[in-house]
Amino acid sequence: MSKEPIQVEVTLGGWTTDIGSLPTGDWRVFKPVLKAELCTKCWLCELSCPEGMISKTDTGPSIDYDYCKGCGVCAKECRFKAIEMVRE
Amino acid sequence: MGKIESLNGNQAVAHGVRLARVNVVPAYPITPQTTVVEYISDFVNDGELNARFIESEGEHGMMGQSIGAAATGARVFTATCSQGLAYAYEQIVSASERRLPIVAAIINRPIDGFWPDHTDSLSVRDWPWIQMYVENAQEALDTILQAYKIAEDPRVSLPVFVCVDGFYLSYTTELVNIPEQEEADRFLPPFKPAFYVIDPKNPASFRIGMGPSSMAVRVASEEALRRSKEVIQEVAREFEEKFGRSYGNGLIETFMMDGAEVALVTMGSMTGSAKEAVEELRKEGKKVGLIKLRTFRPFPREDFQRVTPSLKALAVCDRNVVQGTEAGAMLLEIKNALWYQPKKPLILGFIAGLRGTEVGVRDFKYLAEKTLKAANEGKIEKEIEWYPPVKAIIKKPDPIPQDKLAKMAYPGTSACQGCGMVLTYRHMLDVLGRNAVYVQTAGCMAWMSTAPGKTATTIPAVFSWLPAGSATTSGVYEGLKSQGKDEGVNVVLFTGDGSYGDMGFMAGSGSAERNDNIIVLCYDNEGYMNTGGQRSGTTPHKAATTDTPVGTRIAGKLGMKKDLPSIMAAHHVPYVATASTAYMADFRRKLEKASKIKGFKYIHVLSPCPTGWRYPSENLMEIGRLAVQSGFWTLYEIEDGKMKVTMKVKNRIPVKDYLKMQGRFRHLTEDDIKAIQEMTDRNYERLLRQERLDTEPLQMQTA
Repeated sequence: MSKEPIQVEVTLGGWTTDIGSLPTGDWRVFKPVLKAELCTKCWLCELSCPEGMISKTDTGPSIDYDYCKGCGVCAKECRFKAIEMVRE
Repeated sequence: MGKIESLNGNQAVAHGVRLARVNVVPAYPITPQTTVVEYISDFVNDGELNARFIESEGEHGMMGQSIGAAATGARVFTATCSQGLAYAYEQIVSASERRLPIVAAIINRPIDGFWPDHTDSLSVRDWPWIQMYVENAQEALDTILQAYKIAEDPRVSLPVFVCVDGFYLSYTTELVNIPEQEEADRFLPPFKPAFYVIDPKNPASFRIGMGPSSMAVRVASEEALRRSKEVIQEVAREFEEKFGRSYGNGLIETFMMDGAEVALVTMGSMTGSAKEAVEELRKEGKKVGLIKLRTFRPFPREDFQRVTPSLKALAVCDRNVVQGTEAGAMLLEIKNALWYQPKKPLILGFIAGLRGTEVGVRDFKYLAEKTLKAANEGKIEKEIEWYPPVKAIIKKPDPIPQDKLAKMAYPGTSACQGCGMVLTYRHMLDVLGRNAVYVQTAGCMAWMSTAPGKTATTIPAVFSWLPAGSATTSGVYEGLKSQGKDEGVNVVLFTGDGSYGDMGFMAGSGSAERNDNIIVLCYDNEGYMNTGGQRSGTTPHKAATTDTPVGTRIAGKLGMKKDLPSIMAAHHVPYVATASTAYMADFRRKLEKASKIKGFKYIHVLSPCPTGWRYPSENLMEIGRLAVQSGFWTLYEIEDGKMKVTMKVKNRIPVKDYLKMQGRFRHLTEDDIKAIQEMTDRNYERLLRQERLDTEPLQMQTA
């Protein structure tokens, strides 16, 4: 009648080099969708995305939907209405 | 006979406080205690409890306020846990040495850790505080009422901790009988101080015991603790008579001990599961009972001497560990109590359920079976075991892979949607680049480390608790400097307003006064947003928060917004600036400038918080812009003592346009808004005037 110990890895003092992230894309209710024809590449969306999930590409902004939380700041900030929030 | 409602543990505590007609409640938020004081603030603001609610600047102050108030003869309640308890330590000792009958709830959570265990409250067990541990929400409410009666008894006159397991009890809901006020009043009369109180009409002074008398002081408090055992039992009896609910004799509670050969010993919420395990084992014909330790201090040694001689074995299940002894605190005390007993059981020690690890009915059955086996064989395999058994494998983490170093900030943080802080953080890393070290303090920032043992950045990040953020940052810089490793390195503290402006202010002021070569970046979301949105020193006047709620009697924060940048500028440091998340270019320029200046640099960023300020998340930039455009928040920098307003607003919009977008200001009256408009105008003009003054040549010259 004895139990095998659970083996747990620990680092001294909590030092870590483990880059981790949560798949926050599934927090979204509304999804930012780019209307490329309206985009002027002013990059205000890139500047104001809290998570930094919009990156600059030659063809315009690219949105990382794995992590985009759907806050809607990019759509609100776009002066050319080139980003629309669409229900998932 | 009262009314039955479904309450969580923290609500039950708050109802106990309301029924005890407490006069003063100093409070500072900390998970999982926070909602206790939030519920109390609701009672106060709605006039259901006629008490002074003190929004403390930290737990050290909170306990200091408790001492001061109790010394005047007021009935005082406070609550804390974990880090907060540790921070209050000095004042905790003073409260008991002053013999003040304060009642404090500890919503147990370990220090420097999370999830419940009893290591926080047990770390203050060696002072003359009474410590009572509760099993469920009903007992939490009832024990608050009992605690005042015990504490205020002239034979005792000592403070009491009522310990409630965090998370398990604080946040789970059960049916609780809430006594009527008249019933509570009949049980607990108004407080009559045993000795002197602070009163100019009857002067007496309060000193610390020094010299030969100080040992006698300890003797006296030890005797009071011993006497309190009788008082605790009297109070338990009277409570049972008046309310019909019994908690053993007040010191311990025995369960199914008739004819028991072995017994489990538990404390706190795990007792519930242990009782169920005992019931099941009894049905199987196994002679198992349970002893619940309700009062840990004073330790009821006589009760253990009384109930254990008939037992063959005892399983002591400690939800704590006294490090360096390989044992739990209950085990040490019980062994101590039974040392001279002619007939004593075998004693098995289990360190069970540390840091919230679940120990359920099945686990207690397993532990009881193990104890039965020891009883039958008349010997024990192991004196003390960790349960569940864990083997720690020390691992040195591998270096961050090269491909991951390409990015400095990784996504997937647990910050809320549309968080201004994350935006600030990401731009900060971008401006400062790789040659930086950043220190973060507990708060929303703590969630940037995405998951336990993981980090969301590839530059060195150091975690610090609220009061020591600036101190840790200074230490990092001096440590690097002492080894010649500081060349071009920016050491930056990324901290919240509550942390830096309230509890961490002492350390912050120290760093500034020494002109330590660090950058402090304070993101101001105007409250303690990580603990659920309580007010901080920098919460604006009248704003509603979860502990300055809109009630029928009081609505919103009564004090003003602490002008932290001005206070930091008053340290005459090389660089102080204000910034806003809505004006990123301005912020980035200021941070860039700060990174090139030697000495102490302070940047205060107004960082809107959709959750706490109550506005839709997409309005992050809009809110920030309106704050600046209305003059509610002004962008300036003070370089070498000279003020420069970096964004002058020609046609300021009414401050109402800014306020009305946020739920926290929804209750404001036209008069309130008018007063805020006036303050805003005055402040904006003062800054412009200061800028003009600073550009004029000096008038006075020495001969």
